[in-house]
Amino acid sequence: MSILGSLKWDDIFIVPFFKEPSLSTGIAAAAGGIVVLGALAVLVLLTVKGWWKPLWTHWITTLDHKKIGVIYIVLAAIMLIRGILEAVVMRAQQVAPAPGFLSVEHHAELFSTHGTIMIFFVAMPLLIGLINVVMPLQIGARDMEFPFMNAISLWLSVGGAALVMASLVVGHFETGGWTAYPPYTGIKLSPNEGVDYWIWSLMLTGIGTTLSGINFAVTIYKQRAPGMTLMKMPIFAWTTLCTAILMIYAMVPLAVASVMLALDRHAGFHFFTATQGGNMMNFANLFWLFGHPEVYILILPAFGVFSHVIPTFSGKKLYGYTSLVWATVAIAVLSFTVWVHHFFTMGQTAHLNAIFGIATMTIGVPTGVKVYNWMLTMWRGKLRFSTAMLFSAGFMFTFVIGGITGVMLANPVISFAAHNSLFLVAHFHNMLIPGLLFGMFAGINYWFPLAFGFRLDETWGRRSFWLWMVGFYLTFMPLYAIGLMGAPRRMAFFTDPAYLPWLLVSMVGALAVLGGLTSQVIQVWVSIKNRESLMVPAGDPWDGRGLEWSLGCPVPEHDFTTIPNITSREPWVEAKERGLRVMEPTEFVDIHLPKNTSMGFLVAMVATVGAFGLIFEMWWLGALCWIAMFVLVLIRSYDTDWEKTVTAEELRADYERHKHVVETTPKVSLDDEFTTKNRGLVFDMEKAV
Amino acid sequence: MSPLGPIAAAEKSHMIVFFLWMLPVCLPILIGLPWILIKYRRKGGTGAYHPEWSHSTLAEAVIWGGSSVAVVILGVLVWMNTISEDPYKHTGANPIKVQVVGSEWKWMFIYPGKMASVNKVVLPENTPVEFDITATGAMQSFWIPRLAGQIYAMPGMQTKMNMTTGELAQLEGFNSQFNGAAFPLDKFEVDVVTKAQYDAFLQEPRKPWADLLTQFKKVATWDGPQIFDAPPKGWWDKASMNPDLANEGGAAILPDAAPEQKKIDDAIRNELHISQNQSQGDAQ
Amino acid sequence: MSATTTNLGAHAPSDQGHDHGHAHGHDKSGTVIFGFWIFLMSDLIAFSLFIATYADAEWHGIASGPSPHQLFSLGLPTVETMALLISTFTFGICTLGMKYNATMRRTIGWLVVTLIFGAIFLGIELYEFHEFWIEGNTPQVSGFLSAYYALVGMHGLHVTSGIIWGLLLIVQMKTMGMTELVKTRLMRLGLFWHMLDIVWIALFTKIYLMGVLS
Repeated sequence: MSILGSLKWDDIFIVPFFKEPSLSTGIAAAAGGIVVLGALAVLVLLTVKGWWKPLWTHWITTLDHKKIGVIYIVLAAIMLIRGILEAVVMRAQQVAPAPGFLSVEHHAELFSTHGTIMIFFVAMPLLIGLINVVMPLQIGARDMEFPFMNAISLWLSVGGAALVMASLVVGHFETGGWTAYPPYTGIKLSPNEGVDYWIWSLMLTGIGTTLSGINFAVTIYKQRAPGMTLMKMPIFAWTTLCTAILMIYAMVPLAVASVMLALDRHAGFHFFTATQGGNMMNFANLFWLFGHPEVYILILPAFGVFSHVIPTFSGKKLYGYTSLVWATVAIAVLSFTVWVHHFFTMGQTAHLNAIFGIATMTIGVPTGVKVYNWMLTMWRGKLRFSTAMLFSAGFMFTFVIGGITGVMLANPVISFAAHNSLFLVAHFHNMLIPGLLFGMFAGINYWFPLAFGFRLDETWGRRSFWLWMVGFYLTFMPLYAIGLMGAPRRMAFFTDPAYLPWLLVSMVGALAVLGGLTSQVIQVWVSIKNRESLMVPAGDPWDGRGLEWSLGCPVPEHDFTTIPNITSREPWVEAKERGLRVMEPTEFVDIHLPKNTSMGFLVAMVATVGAFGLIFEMWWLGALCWIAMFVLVLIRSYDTDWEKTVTAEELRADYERHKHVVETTPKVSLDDEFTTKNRGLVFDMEKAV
Repeated sequence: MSPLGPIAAAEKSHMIVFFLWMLPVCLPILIGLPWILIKYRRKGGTGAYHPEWSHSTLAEAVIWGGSSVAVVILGVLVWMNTISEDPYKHTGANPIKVQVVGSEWKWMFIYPGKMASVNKVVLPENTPVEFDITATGAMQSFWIPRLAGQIYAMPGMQTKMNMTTGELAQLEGFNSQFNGAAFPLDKFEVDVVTKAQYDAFLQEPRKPWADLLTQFKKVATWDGPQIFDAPPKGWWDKASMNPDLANEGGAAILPDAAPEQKKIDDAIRNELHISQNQSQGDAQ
Repeated sequence: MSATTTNLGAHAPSDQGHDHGHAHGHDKSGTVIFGFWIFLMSDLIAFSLFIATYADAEWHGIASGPSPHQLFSLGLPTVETMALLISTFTFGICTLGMKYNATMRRTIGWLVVTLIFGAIFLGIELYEFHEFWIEGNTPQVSGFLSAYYALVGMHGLHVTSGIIWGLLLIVQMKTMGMTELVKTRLMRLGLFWHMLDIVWIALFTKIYLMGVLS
């Protein structure tokens, strides 16, 4: 075995194109080229602008929960661009005259990376990032309970994503879809490094996510402000808690399944092989034992976002708080009892299928209750259609349609006729695009000022909403139709001419979604350019209701000058009703914040290099990195000087500064909410009078 | 969906029934939401503003109760449907037994003691059939959409799919679970014929069983449907326990330049009736 | 309090212990241990999934390899189990002593005894693997043996890391002293060690007892 393991010349992204020039290899070479050039461009930009040092001191080594959250969201945004481009290429492939311009293998890599990226490197970082930014501010905490572990989680996720990106440049990704069922992904049928890319990138991000779950749960249990009992907690914190518990328990089965798959592939074990006593059905069980709770890991935080966006922009208290809490808890518990519905077609008894079908539909009850609660929150309100609110309303309408098809699929007999078809593909996109992406978009538009101090541009935000919304319907409604006609998923090309008109509409829809994404990029760009006029230094730009809006925007590193006492569910609303515009500390004391450290970044990067070694069977590299990680953690364990102090004087100065801003900011009416008059502290003049 | 057999027809009717049952729960949202968005909009809306209103026991009871009732009804339906359309249950007395082996990228059908065929299954009209299904290589999903739903074909495992054929028809069955380079070609003909034609089919001249096995073992596509002698008694059961009997192994995903990949590309072109010299743009 | 609780910005000094993020305060230790508990729960899930896989493989995955009945005997595993049980007992003495301010020498002494018994456990396990191996019963033989090696091996890896962790803690006690930080680490190792013991009881019962009796 060579020192480079199984790495070959052909694994370098442009070599196959020169050996075998075709549109398919050309696209692969171009994609690899974009990654390489993109990375080079970033390096050049950082060097020319002299941004290396600030990047290192303010971002890479940071332990501040808000900055960590922002990095997560930036990661998700980059990966979202790749995921959507892949989707557009796949839509184009299917409308091109058969057999299209992609080889079957290349198409398979695309749907596999698309699924893997969208779930693990878009959805997860989005929600973990948003939780990081917002949750501590909502419960009155200064940071996560374990800030260093938080950094490790972050950089492990980045490492996992980097591996998926690397697969464009070096070697191939796997081709068995994001679920990677053996025996197809066994060493016999899939001998190249693709499956190992899948295994190790998910292992890195999976460990990161489990640690995030622990961090969130402990933070919520231990760091709530005094007086904030569980039933006074904001709903987003509740959904975070439930998501965290799901993360802690549900990521493990995925890790177990992928370790077993790795042992099968490289050590000749027989967990999932068909011969010698392996059982591939065990993989399906383990995978979905993770996979189904995962669905609710993705959706619950978005439910939390809607529970804040809707009351704020309805100018009204959240309807049915208790009901929403119990619905959230019910969903979290039930999510562990339904995994078999992902494989009704695996030959188990009808009774077992029926039980899991019924359990699946039972989740419909708390989910339906939530949608009605949000609707009743809007009822008797005064609705303002900000971008965040539009995404929330769009979510409710679209999600219900997905719910209908979801309950249909919960019937095993219907599942027999729709499994592995484009109907199923349409269904889960129908759940996850509104239920996850719209929620995160709403949350980002809503809470953006907390992290950056300025609002996002509303015009481009609304454009992006309409493009996403229209794009979604155009893309996926046709897929429902041809799915019912019997079109299987993961098909590189279709020969039935009856599908073509539907596929064309779907292609147009994909372009609209791409337009939505482009609008969002423009939105961020325009907002950064106009940040001076979009600044809301006084905080609370939407007449908000939660504790997080009692802080100035951007929120200072220490979050709270003093930790407030909580006596109700909407403390900030009550404070405002009493005429308060700023929290008044009674005394200032020194506080401690975690010091920056590069260790989290280093440990995760070494882990990533080690994982790369394992992917290409460079076992020596894997072992070396394992030892290096161990040494790094050991060094860190001797470091006891991990806190810095913010003195009472600094806090006082900061408070005085903020108070001055608040006092000199004119009161803004709701009418001017989306105009440049909004410098923070918007409130309802009509209500005040 | 245009079902031919009773099982496929039942699947279609369940879909419609479930869709309709979901409407009472979902229509209030689909209609009510736009209505609320219009009526309670801040500028120009006519709805009264009650910022503190946040609870109604009646509404809670209706929401929780209503959706629970819907789920109870649907749950009963799920139970009944699942039991009555159990793919393991015979759809009539004395079904025709066909043993199936799925592989990369072809399907073997065995009429025990009579005949074996690849990529083609011939069935008499309006007759109950039981497919006994296994696979070699990757996991696949056996599906003839116009007759019945699908079930996984897995190496080392046996699954069953019962159905009743409908009227005379030429149908297509396929694998719906992605399994590599020639996945789009992984399909088979299903001929539903008269009883007389079916009996005649079983008498047709065929090639020896050994020929089938040699070719079938390779991870490769298959040229056109062909018929062979039946395997020795009990072969299918053995093969379902030991998939290596019908599979030599090999990669299911290949570099673009690999000779096997060239063959697959040719097979795809052939399937699409594209001459090798023609550009891809002239397809069909 | 009523006067101040109406003020959102009110300060509650009595509750500030953990809000300040004092890493060395008693509250922080409790929180760290609570977090570690949660981590152990997820580790337990991993073990239970490996056990479930083993139970399935024991049933369906024998293939051409040996059955549990043919493979296992109770003798060595019982000794192995006793070694681990004793180690968990001595660890209990170690941490109890620490609670009652035992000297560092005593604490280290009991920790060393614990680790020695852990090493005995591990040695027997490796010896058994070796015996199976030379008989040709490698994990590549059958699904059952794959599951066996993975399950017991994973437990063994945990014990190995526990031993390394213990050795490092001895070094840290010597170099850093019995600080709150080091004590917390020892407490966490204790939790880890006791969990491994409980897991082993399940493994011993499922694999050896039930395997031999089947």
